[in-house]
Amino acid sequence: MRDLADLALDAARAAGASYADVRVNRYRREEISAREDRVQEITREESSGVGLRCLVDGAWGFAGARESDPGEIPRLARVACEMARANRAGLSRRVSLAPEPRHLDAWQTPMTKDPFKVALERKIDLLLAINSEALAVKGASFVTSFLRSFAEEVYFASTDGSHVDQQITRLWPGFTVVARDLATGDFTSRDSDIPPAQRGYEYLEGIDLAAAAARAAEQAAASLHADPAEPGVLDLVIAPGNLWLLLHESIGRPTQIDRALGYEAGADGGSFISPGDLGTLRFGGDLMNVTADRTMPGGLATVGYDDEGVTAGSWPLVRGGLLVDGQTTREQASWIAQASSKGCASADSWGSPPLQRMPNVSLEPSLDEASLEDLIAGVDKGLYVEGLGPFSVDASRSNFMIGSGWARLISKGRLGAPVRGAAYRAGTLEFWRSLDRLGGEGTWGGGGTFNDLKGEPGQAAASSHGCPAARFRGVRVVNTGSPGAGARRTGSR
Amino acid sequence: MLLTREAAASLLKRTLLLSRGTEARAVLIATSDSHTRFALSGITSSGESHDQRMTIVISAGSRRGAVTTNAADPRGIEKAVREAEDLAKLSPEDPEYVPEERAKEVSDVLAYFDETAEWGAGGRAEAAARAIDAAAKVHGSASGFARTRESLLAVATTKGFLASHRETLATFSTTIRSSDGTGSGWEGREENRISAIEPSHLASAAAETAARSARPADLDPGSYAAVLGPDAVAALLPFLLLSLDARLAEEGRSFLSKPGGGDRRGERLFGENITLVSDPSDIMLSSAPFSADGVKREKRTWIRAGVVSELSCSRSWAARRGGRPGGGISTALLLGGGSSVEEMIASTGRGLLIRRLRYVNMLEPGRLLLTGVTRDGTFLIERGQVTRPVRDLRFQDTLPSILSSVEMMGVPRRTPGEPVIAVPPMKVTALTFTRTAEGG
Repeated sequence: MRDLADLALDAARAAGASYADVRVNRYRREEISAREDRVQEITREESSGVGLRCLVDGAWGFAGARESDPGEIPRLARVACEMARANRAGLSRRVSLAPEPRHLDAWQTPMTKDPFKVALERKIDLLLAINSEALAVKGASFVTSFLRSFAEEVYFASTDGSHVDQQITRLWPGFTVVARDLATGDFTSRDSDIPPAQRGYEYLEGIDLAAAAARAAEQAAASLHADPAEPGVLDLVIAPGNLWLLLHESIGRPTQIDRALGYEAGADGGSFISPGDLGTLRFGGDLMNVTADRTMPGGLATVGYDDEGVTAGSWPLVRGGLLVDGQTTREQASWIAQASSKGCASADSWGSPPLQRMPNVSLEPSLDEASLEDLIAGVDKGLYVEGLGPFSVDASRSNFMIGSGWARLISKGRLGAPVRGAAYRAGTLEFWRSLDRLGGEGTWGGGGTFNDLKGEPGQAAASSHGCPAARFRGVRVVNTGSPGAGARRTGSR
Repeated sequence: MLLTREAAASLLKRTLLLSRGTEARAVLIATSDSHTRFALSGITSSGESHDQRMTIVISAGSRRGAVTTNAADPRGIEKAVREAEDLAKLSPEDPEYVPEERAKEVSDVLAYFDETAEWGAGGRAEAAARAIDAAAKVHGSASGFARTRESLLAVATTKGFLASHRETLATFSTTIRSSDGTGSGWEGREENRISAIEPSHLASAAAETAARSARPADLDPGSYAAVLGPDAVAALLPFLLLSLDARLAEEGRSFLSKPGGGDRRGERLFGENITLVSDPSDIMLSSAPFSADGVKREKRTWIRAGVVSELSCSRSWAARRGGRPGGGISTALLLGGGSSVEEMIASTGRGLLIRRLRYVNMLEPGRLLLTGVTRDGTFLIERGQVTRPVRDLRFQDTLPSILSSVEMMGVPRRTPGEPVIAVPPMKVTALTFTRTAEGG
């Protein structure tokens, strides 16, 4: 790997690059899916290649090719540098990279059981057990489950002298249970809340997935016959399995500095935050502390070094309710007058140039060890929400609507009947300013995604979001359209 | 250079010869991508990459395993074949197993154009410059994306099926923001031929929308007549395509499920002016005439004059229920009418002109209830004229309701993205908006 990387960097220099970095990557993926009592699919995929990024006269060029053929390297260097030269006339700002010390290091996901070495039969048995437990619940009609395993080997080197070898392993278990009433044509579904994680197979051994599937089945069946959620302004107690998405959408995305400056305007939109808001914008109350972290154990975005060879770290985004920082790459640090990168560069393939991507973004729990029951006890009339339903966010992330996977009424401090179709919507700042109590460590949970899309062509990234249960006052609750059992069919109009 | 069809066929045949399973399928996908991005009126990045992936699906009786590799050397491909064999042996019996496709005639679709493949970094930078120039004329800033893609899909089975398809795709899009950042316009096109895209023309239109949409006013939520541009209609259509699935409908978990069992084929669920077809050979939507699982794609009419006439069927469901497998809905054309957008506006007493919708999501699949927000230029229409820009709005409505209230339609055009679709601009008599997207 090192020889190939050095060859690429030498070729880049010879082609005129003032700076270059190269990634020699190998990706492996295994997916097993099951439906009811049968295995649907078992697939494995492997992809290897080289991505070379060159800076010429302040302009970027990038070229990638499959496999690690030394004979191909000089061509990649020429193409990347020619591309950079073609772009020089169109620059509005020359690229300037924040300094980063030289690193010679290796890093890998801490784990005890490589999921690619676990017997296939064992994984199949796990999925069939999930399906069996779910279908044993009265009212459950269908269940699908999957287990995805990912391994990345990333060798990074740059003309700054860094050589970093990393191995990253991630797991994503999941299921969906459907309850239907064939007579009325009505149906509901409930997805798994089990977070994907950067862990070995031991992660799955610590979770009772079959029990979780049975619980999801019970909720899907109960939702089918539940009353529709009544629209109104209510207090909300939100479980981590729902709240994590808000951290992702309403804090993780807006605090990306390129997005805040308008660099993503042509793709999936901007941010309601501007860099001038750092240190001045009040996001929420004093109890709100949000941390960006590329070192979080088990976090999907956790690495030793980012795809520019910057050491992974953690830093506050929101402290005591005040927005204090954002997310940057080496190129972007100077855009907000910072001396160093936050280490947020990442590419989804050897064939993609690195972009600024989201770290793990988490909401700190309360130190007073408040329980979920404590949060609920403080609500006279409200709604308890867990799991994810449909959601939609506006282009600047200033507004959102988030659906629930499971919701129950709260009356006089106690949980009541389930309701169906409950969602909440709010302006981002209005919502976070309505946060009035956080749960303690005992309520900690969260979620994550592999499918955070950004850029053009769109690149997927993975990030995790931890949070406690939390209580919000006076939030607009809406019904996402379900008129309730037996009254759903409207036909055409 | 992208693999030729002959070379692809040869590689597939050699790969299948390595198989020791009862039957096998090999799928080759080769891609060559080049792109340039620009933002804040400057080029920010560009790149190109080349890949070639072989998927080998091997059956041992009704057990099946699939392995994909992008290995370039024959040993790498043989290793993938052996691994697929091992997976097949370890897999349980599949009660829904269907044999691989046999030999059949698949007509070629012309979708590869040298002019697109030859559009290089210089051409893309020039297109970006046109957008930047157009933005400068309205004192705004331009962002956007120019891309070309050459791709090859080739499929062969040990039962004799062999087909290949090469295509080129050019994409250009630009978002132009007004000088104060409150106005935004977007235009984008995706075509097999680069000469069918005019970056200058698109950039001028985006700049005009940006200037006109600046300093928007609030508008009360409610039900409004709406003139939807093709890109707004295109954001809705994928949800309809996903619902046109025979298995989901019969299993009782789709908008097309009939209470008591069965599906709603034959029912009029949309307006009589709604007809939806797929045809990979349509010159506007040229695409592969077969799927990666070897199913030949032919012209299909999913909705005819508002009546659902066909549903998409997987190979296994078709085998169980006797339907015609379609290999999924990869292209769709919503037939249009003869009205221009200007005529639609002129016929509207009070309503909205909507250029784009974003983050559209399904709220309830049983009713095809959708939500999303307007983007890149939303305008109030009063007494037949566009009078002022309004802040982005959140809509919430069902697709059957929307497609039952289409009053006028224009000429369909292809819109960027997947699946490959062409839709007309349309005027609907009522679309429900629940709030402004900005408000709390």
